[in-house]
Amino acid sequence: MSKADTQNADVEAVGAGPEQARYGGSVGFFRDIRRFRRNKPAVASLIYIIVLFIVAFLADWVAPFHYETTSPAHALEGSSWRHWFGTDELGRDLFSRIIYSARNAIIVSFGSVLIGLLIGAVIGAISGYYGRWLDILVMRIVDIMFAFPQFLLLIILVTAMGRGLMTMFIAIGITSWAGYARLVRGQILSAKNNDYVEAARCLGSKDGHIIRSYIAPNIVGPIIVAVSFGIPAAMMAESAMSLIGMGLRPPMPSWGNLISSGMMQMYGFPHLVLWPSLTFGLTLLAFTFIGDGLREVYGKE
Amino acid sequence: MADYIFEANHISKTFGKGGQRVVAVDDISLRIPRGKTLGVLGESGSGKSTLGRCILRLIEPDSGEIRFNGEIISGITHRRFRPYRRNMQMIFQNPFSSLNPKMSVGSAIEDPMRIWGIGDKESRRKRVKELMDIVGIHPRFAYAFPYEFSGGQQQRINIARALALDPKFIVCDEAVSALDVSIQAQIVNLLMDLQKELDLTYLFISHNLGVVEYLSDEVLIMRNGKLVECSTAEDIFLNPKDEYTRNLINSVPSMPTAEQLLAKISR
Amino acid sequence: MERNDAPILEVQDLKVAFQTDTGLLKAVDGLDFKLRPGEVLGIVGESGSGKSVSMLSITGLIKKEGRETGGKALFLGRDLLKLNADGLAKILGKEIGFVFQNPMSSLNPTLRIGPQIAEGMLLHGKAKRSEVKDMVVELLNKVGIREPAMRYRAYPHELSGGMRQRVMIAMALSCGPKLLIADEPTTALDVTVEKQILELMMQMKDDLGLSIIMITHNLPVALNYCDRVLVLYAGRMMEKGSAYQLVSKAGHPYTKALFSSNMELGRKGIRIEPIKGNIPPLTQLPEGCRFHPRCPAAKDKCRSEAPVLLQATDDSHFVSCHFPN
Repeated sequence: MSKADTQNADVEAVGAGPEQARYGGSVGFFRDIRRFRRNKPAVASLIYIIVLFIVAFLADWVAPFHYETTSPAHALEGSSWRHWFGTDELGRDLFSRIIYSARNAIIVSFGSVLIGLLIGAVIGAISGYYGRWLDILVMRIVDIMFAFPQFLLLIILVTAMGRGLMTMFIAIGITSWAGYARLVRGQILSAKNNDYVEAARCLGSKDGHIIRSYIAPNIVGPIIVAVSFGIPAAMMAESAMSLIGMGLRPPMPSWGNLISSGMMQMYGFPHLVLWPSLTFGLTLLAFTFIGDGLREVYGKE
Repeated sequence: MADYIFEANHISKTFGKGGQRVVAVDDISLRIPRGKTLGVLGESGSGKSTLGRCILRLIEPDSGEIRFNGEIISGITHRRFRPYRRNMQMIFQNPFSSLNPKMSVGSAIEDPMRIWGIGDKESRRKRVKELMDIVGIHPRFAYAFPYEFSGGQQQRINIARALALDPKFIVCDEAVSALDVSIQAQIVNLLMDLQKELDLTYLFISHNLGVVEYLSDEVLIMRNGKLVECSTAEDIFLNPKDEYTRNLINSVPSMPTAEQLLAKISR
Repeated sequence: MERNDAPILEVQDLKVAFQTDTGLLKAVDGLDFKLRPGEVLGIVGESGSGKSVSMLSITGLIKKEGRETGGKALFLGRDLLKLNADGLAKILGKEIGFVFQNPMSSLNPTLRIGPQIAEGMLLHGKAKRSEVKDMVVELLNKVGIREPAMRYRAYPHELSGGMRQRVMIAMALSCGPKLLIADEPTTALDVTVEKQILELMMQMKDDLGLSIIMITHNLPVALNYCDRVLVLYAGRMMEKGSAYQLVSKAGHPYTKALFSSNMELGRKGIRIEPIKGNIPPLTQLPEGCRFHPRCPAAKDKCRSEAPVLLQATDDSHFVSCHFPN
């Protein structure tokens, strides 16, 4: 190697070198974080969501009251130091009930997205990577899933399985896999045609290694983005179901339940619909901002 | 008899069905002496890239026989073919897209050794440094990612990766076509130096006549999937037999001489 | 052949810079040239040399956000850099025609080529609706498309790469421009087609009295077809002169290196000495002469002081080097 070595040694000596020298080694993951941090609304939203998470999961300790604790003497009060967001017709603390709603919404949305993503990713990956008749079959099923109204399917599933937290997130998960399957398949199809996958095959990689080391790392970005938009969508589905009385079973609070019961007394006691709607809207908005932020990060590749 | 490391006989490949059938490679035979370079020259759509991929079985040829070191490697199962992969590598046209953007370059060069379970972590790292040295990239950049390098540097990394398994035969598919003029010569020289030191055999696919002439021992000219002419480089470029070859050679813009330009001005 | 006519395009000290995440990117720094009627000017450079950016900037075809331009680009006396979008739109396509590297991406794939060419002519008032079709067919014939009346109704994807580039040229010439800017017009084409296209452009120049700016990375192409050639490197002019001056007495080490590392036919057996090193990213340009890190003849002065373009052998030959030859 002596000759090539010396000949190319001077090539390197004057080479501009990779940019890394300037950036001090912030690449990959850290570069992503740096990009995300530039998006101020997304960062603010992330902080809001983190606080919401902590509060929601420590609800039993953080919430001033349990969601079932009634206090007829204090029914339908406005905001006060004792009840920040006021109370409902049974004197239950609205602030506490919203905290518990957030917890339920998080469980349902994350659980359902996880289920949908798991089913969808596996089906989409097989379909996209191996292709041929399997792909055609799977994609027809996905088309049928898309053609079928999600809401109708949810109602059927809930009717069959009964109302409850568990039912809710399984049902939403089952109805949302098709979107993830289509996304994962599309991403794999385009990643599969990259030169670097052909190069890996040429090096003797087996399928598993190609999928793990060459395809998966390059498609996580769009999937993370889809998940960040899937979560508010699942929250919407959950509260919509609750709104029509097919969601969580009262007295278990959910944003949908709170809003639907609040609407009945909207003119007399607007705070009953104002606070749940406001916090719900804010949460959805926050997830959307985060999704936009992530899209900006991963879209730049 | 010369020692041919690689032989391919009557390779054909057709894409599509019915009326949209395209014969990409039509009954091409070639053989490459050990340690030499066979240049495959053709314009776009000549099927030269498909031929290169058929030879490495990245695309299955429809028919034909391929021999490596005299052993038949066509028509055997992928499981039985896999051991031969180690000895045959490919360098692609686009240096950036043939590297995984999420893998550091050191890791990319190490990957073939991981795939084949060669050595332990430490010995592999040592080998990566060695390979980076050979291709002229300082080993301190092993943790950098492909996008941080220039095109020429990326192609050096691709070459290092292809060399990681000590292959005997490398297919270069337009390996310098995407590079700047001043970088092309660097990479071509590097490939030629490596060939001498490591006793490599190349199949060099390109549309660039100058590059092919510069580094090939023998040249095969393809057009519309068919073989036009195959001979030694001197033969092809100094006394081309085929009309098409002559036309090709005459079309390459050559550096004008001062006299030619003077004549043009005074005209 | 001295020409005394007023220049078609006069670019004076053109500077183009972009504000990016990683700092100010100086894409073009001090471009200077005059293009006379009937002249073919070659702008030669590698990637990042600024050869395309400079032309796209003066014609406003590059996004304005984050872009800073300096200097002047006088087209028949009007400064293109000072014109607004409307003013430019009146000139582009009408008085300045463009041919790009990839005809497929510059042609609308959903329109038949004939009507596509006719559209521009009608827009700029160069033809009446009743006669436009005949004019387009005649134009297609002129750029060497066989059976032009039939091809009039062809879609871009039905044509070969060379045919598409001919259509692009027809479109660029359709409004009778005075200047044709061709950005790597033959890079995507096979060599046999390349020659035909270049010869077509030269013929059009002679027939129509055009001036041409040809942007290319291919030095032999520039020297064979251009009267004058600018050699750019990392956004700066390295050398400027006639093709003859560059071939017979190139003054800049970069120009010489381009000659010696060019892989043309007939180099077999003679080892090419490549230019060492890599092209610097425009965000981290070296101090002094931009070529000095790769220059075999670099001295201390080159590392600290940027050379200016000075007259070399005779009055039309300029070199930007402290130690020419």
